[in-house]
Amino acid sequence: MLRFVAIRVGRAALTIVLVVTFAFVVLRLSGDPALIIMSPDAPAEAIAAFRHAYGLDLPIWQQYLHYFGAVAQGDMGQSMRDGRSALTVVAERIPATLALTVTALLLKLCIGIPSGIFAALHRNGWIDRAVMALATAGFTVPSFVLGLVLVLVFSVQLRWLPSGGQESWSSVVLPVITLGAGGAAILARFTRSAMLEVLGQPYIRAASAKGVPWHTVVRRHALPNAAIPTVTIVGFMVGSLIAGAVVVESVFSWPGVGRLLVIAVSNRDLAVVQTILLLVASTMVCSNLVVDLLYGVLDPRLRVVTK
Amino acid sequence: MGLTVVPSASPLIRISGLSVAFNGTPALLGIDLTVGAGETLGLVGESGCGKSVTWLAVLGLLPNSATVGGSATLDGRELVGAPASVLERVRGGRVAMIFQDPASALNPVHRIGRQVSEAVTLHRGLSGGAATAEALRLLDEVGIPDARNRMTAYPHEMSGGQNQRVMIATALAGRPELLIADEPTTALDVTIQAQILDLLRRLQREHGMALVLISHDLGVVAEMCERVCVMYAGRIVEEAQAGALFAGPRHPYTTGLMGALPPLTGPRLRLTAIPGRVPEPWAMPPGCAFAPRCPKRIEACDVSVPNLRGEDRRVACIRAAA
Amino acid sequence: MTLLALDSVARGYPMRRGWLGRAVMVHAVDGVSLEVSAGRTLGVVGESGCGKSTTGRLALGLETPDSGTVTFAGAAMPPPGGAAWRALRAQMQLVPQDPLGALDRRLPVARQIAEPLVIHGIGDAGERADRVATLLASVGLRPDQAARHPHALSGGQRQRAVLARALAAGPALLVCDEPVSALDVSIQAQIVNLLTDLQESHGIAMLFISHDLRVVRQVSHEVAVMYLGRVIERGDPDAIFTDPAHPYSRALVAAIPGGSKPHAILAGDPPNPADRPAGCAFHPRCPVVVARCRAETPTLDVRADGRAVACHLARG
Repeated sequence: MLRFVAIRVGRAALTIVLVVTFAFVVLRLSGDPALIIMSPDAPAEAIAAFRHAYGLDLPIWQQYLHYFGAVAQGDMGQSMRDGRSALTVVAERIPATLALTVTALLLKLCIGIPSGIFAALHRNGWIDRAVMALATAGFTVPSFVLGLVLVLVFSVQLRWLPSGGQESWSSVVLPVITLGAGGAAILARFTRSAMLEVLGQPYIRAASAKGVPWHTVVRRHALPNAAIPTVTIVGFMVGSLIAGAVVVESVFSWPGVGRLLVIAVSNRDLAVVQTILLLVASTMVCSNLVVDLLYGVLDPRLRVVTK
Repeated sequence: MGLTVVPSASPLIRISGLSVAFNGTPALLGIDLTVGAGETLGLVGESGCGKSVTWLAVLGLLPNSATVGGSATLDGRELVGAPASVLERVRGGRVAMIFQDPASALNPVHRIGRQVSEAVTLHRGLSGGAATAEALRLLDEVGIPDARNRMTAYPHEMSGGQNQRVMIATALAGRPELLIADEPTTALDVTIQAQILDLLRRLQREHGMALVLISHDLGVVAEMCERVCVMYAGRIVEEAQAGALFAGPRHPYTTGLMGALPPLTGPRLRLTAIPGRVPEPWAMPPGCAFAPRCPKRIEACDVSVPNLRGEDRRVACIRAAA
Repeated sequence: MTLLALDSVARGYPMRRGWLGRAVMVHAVDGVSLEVSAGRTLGVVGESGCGKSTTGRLALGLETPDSGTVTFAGAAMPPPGGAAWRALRAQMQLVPQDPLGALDRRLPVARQIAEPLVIHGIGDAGERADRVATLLASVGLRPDQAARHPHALSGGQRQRAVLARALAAGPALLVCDEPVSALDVSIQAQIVNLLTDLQESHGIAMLFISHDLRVVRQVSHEVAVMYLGRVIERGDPDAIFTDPAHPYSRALVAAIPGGSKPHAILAGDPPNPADRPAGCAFHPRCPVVVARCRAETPTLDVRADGRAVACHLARG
């Protein structure tokens, strides 16, 4: 078991290294940050000084090694915008993003999973059809469209809720709904099909034949089995807690990591972009790791045989 | 409706006029059948003939798309349309059922000890350590080697034969008066099949329970059962004591089934295969469902569905000397 | 005349125990020698894991043996994929258990039956159409069923279509791997009769692999009983079924439901090919085991009565 965990963790670390390298290479290739930051007609000495200050005059492999060494020590470099630590710049945005994404995740789980289960249990009934129609609508409408429609209706027309900013609890409502709708829809469909698959298995009928009451059959025999495929999709949602709100944060001018990313990219603020990418990759990799380990917990068939 | 052979004064289960349709397509077209206490009844027929559906309907285990008509009584108490609470006490209690593919009839994420003790808890009112101890005793009884250590095993860690033993232990938990075994050995190797059939025989003797054996295999039924019902396209076409049936089948379909089974001794003659195939449920012939394949067919066969007639043995054929 | 000969063929597969365990070799087939004569049927029986399907694949040249040789019509089996190997496909065909899996769901069956003719360049379009019609008739399919897709046919009809396709190029050998196991009894008899008819009319040899001893007795001229990758008894079907010599054959025959033999129920589970017992592989389940069985692997020796048996106690 230990060996299994060690191998998984090792693989996760390797993925992160590859992501760091990839981000470094792509961003360095895409243009000279000094020219963009300083504006092309700045004096040559100023540009050279800027380059020197940020190590941009070194050969690319040295820049890479320096960067890598720094990252390993937790130093992500400074934002080229205001000279503060990139990590600090990103970290102070995280709570705002999590306030949105974690709430939205709870919304997805609380709506998506129960309605998927409910739809599966009433297959082909009107409830099932209604849930599935809503779910189809939910994930076909892009979040920026949904966000704008919600703003038009609830902020502009009805004036019930603010259209953006972070003033009060009420500013959270529209972005969270925008962010959660698609995920809830996907989860509902996924849970439904996982449940239908499991409900058709012989062991469900066998459990009923034992005299187990139907609600217990569902709870004890169907749900644990249906949870196995559902965990994958929830894991993916947890993995995108940091980066999943780029569009929504822009639509609602929410001061989170996503908006910071958009700004940093347009400014070529390399340190900040790389910090965010690394953060996103780490959360994704970590949640994948947790999903892998959870599979083993949920499904004894996947457990390592220790003999 | 003809008189039924009743082994004891009042049968344990009496099924009359039982019919099932799935989304309007008939699957079972009126079954009359009794099972007496302690008796062994075989139900033979090919896939889709309704032999499993009959018992799933009796226990209320069919999906919502099924419409069940007619009656099935357990000691005089109606089961068709009975409330869930009544059916749940009967299922796994007085009437237990085991299925074809034991590996998929056990929940893959639960340990086998837990799956057996779940039934113990439901039907015997035992819980905790007492339920576990009883589950262990049952696993011992059905011949799981080293049962104490196997309690914590998962189904995928056991062989097919052992999984079927676990299913049988689960079925015994409620001390059933009737065990319905639906193709219990079809998924197993021949030598393992022999073990499981032997186990079922032993348990039936020791517990005095009735056994309904659903099988497509005439050999299995001949070996295990006192009385046999042959089913075809949703109806019983012949019912007789096993010895009499195998010595001289009266329905042409039964004769056909026996001719189709390669013999184990004697000269190897060409098999007398039944031509054609079973009619689709939505395209049933107007008269006898077997008529289109029958070598003894006459015009009258296409007029109306023959009744199951007779006293000591019943045949649904106008050409049979009943 | 010997058409197909397997001489001490062995085939193993590496298998991991658990996810990260070291790979061990599992000997699916371990020194099997068999011969199929032209126009005759050799039945191979045994339980799951005995290696009978692998034997079939080795016979067809779909797999290459780790050791030993496969000879077809006097020539060694060419390596898979080459031109010689492909040309040989017209000579030998597989009839599998699951006809639906063997047919292409998107094509009408007539097209699939004509396919071997196209591949091996037999006849022109008109001749092929005639040949397909003849093939359909010979397997008992109606001409109107030719245009149907596999899912519009019943299980028995699909197996007939597979047979028609197998016969298209005029093979000398059919390897039938549980060809009737998925069918109902009445349909099973139709296909068994069809196979024997086709053998009679076309003079085809068959390697007939099945777990069903009744069916094997019905079709076979000779029978080989396999256990854990080896042939443990071989001989005339009637002789083996009335008087099995190997204790495992005895148990197998006794286990046939509805048979006349008294039950001598074999204890224990079917063996695991990854965990082969030393000596005679059957000894842990054998009712007449002696000390020698645990140490020494018996060879398959031909007795005076022509039967070959691999048992220390059944030399005859």
